[in-house]
Amino acid sequence: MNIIKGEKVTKSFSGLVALKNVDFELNKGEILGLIGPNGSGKTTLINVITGFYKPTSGKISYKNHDISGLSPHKISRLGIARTFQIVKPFMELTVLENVATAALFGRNIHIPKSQTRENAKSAIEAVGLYDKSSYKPGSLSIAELKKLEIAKAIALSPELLFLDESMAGLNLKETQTTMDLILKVREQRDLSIFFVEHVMKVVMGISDRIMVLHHGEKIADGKPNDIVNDENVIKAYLGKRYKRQKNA
Amino acid sequence: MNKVLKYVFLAIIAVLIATVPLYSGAFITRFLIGVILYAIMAEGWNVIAGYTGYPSFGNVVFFGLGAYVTALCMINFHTPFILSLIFSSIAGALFAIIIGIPILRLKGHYFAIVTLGIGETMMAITFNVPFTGTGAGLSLPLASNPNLFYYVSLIVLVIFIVFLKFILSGRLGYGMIAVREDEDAAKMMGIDTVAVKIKAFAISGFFTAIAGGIYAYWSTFIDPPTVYDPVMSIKMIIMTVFGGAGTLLGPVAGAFIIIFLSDFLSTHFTILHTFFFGGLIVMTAIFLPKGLMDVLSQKGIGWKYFIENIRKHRV
Repeated sequence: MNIIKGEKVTKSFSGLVALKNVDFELNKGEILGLIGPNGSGKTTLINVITGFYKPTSGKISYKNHDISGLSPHKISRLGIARTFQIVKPFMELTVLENVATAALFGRNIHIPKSQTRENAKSAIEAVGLYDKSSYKPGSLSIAELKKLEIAKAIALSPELLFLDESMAGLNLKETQTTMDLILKVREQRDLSIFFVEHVMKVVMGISDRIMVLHHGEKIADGKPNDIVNDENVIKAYLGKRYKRQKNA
Repeated sequence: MNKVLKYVFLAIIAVLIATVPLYSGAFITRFLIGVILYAIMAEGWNVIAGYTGYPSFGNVVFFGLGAYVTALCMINFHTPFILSLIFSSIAGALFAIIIGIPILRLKGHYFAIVTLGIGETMMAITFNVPFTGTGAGLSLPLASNPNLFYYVSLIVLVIFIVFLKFILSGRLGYGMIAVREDEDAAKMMGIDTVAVKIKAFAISGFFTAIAGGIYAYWSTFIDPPTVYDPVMSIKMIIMTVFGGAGTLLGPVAGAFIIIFLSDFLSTHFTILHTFFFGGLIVMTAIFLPKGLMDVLSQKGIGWKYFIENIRKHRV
């Protein structure tokens, strides 16, 4: 059963077509990796789905309800959360306050405030920032900031999570722990995850399925192993070198 | 035991503050009414700018509007003072909502400039509309008991602080701070940022207008240049920033200290005191960008704190 589905989603910015008739679908519990060259419309697609942009045409349905064109806060309250490629922590608040703020909103908007604290703490624990609860984001490393971003997203109690390059700028070890973290939160919180990533090792490592965008159009969608052997994808994004490395 | 002592101490202070007119002269009472009115306005600015991150440079518009509504009600309809204040506060909140819907879409400098313009526009309108008395101003009836103003303004300030504390502990308060910190992230958390901003602006307008209404009856005469004076907007900002923007009691401390120093200097150093506000703004921006409340919350303060501020906040 699909949790989110897009039909012919198109977004143009005064003539420039950023997304062209993109169809996509994400099944419940699935991890879908979205790849594509810079400027291919990956972040735009996330922005359209989460309500930051209104689609020019096309339809997006979440659990069979049409959500195309709803404002971001309404979409968030339905149970869709996202992280930002450029992290957006609340700089003046501590890690705990950051996540506690998130725990008050999203799908928790109608839960009494006293019951949201636990949720915030468990989100911090899940990403492994518990010892840094009282730190302000200014003193965290980039890897920790990305984890904070994930903690804030899962504190909203979403059912569907969008991760926009949560691993960009991380070293190998940090990437590995973040990958484990994503798999763990999916398991614990019964999440469906849609993520954008450039690091192919990550994409191959955790995706159940991969979708490829190029110039705003979907050029491939399928199992990870089929995608990396797809001629179009190799030409548009991966390059010949990737294929040689893989075969070697 | 220490805790008991603390509460006894606080209770004594509260009683002393509440009974000022009974044991002090008219001069001190008058001074304190000025402080409290400015504390209300500074706290009003704190709600929209300190907590929500929208630096209004024209909050005096609510003060002027409140003053005129109270004056017109009392002169034309002979409504009781307190009822007039209620009308003023409603007018202030409504006006904030009406202008807030379009202008709260602007950010940063653009918002600041537009708010500055709205104050000036309201002054110009009041100058030219016959029933507001135009440039000649309005004269209100004399109050029988001048101490009334002390009690009314003190009660309004206390209500404001308690109300704000309540707001801050709930979703609206967290939403305001989230909007200040990052509006896009706030939206994505499911915060209706437009509603949060408008509510914050309405609270700001509501209480600032009451201060205006109290001022009108207290001074018995108002005209556009006094109640729409842009310098008042600037004073609210200085007091809040000096005391600590985004802190509950910072604006109150700021209002007290700044009015006290300003009065003291203007009586003892007539020329020097003209440098006071300019100098204070510069010094605050350099050494205390987070205000007095931040200094008080530090354990063991030394010159390092001030050096660190310069280092952290330099351009």
